[in-house]
Amino acid sequence: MFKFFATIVVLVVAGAALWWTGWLTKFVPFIPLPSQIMKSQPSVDTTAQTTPSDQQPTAVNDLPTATNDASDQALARDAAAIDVQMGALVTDSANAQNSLNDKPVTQEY
Amino acid sequence: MTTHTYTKRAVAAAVGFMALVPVLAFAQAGAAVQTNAEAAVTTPAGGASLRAKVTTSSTAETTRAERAKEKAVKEIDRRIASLNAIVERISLMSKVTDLLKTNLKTNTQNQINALTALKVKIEADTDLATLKTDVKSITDAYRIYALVMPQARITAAADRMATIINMLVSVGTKLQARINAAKAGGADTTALEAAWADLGTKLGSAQEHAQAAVNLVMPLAPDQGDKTVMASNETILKLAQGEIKLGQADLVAARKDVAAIIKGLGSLKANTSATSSAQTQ
Repeated sequence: MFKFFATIVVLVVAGAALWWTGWLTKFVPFIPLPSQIMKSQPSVDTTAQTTPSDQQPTAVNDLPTATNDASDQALARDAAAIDVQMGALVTDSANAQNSLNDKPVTQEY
Repeated sequence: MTTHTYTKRAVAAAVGFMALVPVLAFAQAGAAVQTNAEAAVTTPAGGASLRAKVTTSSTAETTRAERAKEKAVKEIDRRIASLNAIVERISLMSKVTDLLKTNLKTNTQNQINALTALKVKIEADTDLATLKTDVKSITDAYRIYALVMPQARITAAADRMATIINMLVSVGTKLQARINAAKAGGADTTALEAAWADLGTKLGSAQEHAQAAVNLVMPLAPDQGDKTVMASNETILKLAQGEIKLGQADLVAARKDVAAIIKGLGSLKANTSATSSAQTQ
């Protein structure tokens, strides 16, 4: 019985040591999906009615290929789709900057 | 005072009230989603013909008033066009909550309604003093416009960043599988693993910046003429835009990591192929 508990303790300590040294983090899947984090944000309007569609979303595949397709062709298509979005981000960012720089036209009166 | 004068004043008061309602609604952070649906004043066909002659004592003043009207209408039209464009952009957002999208849309639509009503009122103004007040209100209303636009634009950019992060995360998972397979085949994947680790770091950072941008802009409310609040809003909007730029830089770096890994995998494949070929000869 003592051996059993001793083994459990050794395994726990070994697991903790592995975690502490960062070995186990190698098996942790990437980073949390941004959609889940973005969608969890409170809104500016706290009084508006909440609709059922405001519930937490499911993960969405934004790539043009299947998530389990790691072929060269799929990666090339994925990369091209990402580049399109990157280009659109440049436009979005520029629009945001322009909206900050916008000034009212002086009126006559 | 004639019946005609009473009628004119009643109409002017009604239109003025309709112009104010959306602005006040926005001041309450878009609390009433549909309240202002009726506030949109439709410009009749041939709206220019509605433009009444301003009662003035001289031709010079009439010309000046007409010029002021034209300039005012032009400025209002410019803002309405920008606001309509942002409504379309808000509809395309996919990573922020539906509630947040609704609020942004409502606030933007309220501004469109308010400006439309103001435009109709200015075009119908016949009294010089009223016209002056209405024209001045364009500048006053600008402070709401100056908040709504960057608020929506920054959120749109953050939403786009979230989409790209999502895509790069999925690609990162695919690349991880490819690296592991190459490593299992005996290839030296040290450089690829380093690039992959950097990819994860950059995506994590980009995600934080996107979230920070949204968190910064969402609680902002119109300054209601308070210069301190106005300055604070401006500072926060600039900070949020700074977050967008930092996140964008992270994504550019992450995209380079992906390119480097794909290229590296290609080289590994070429090496393996060359080695196999040499061994079979």
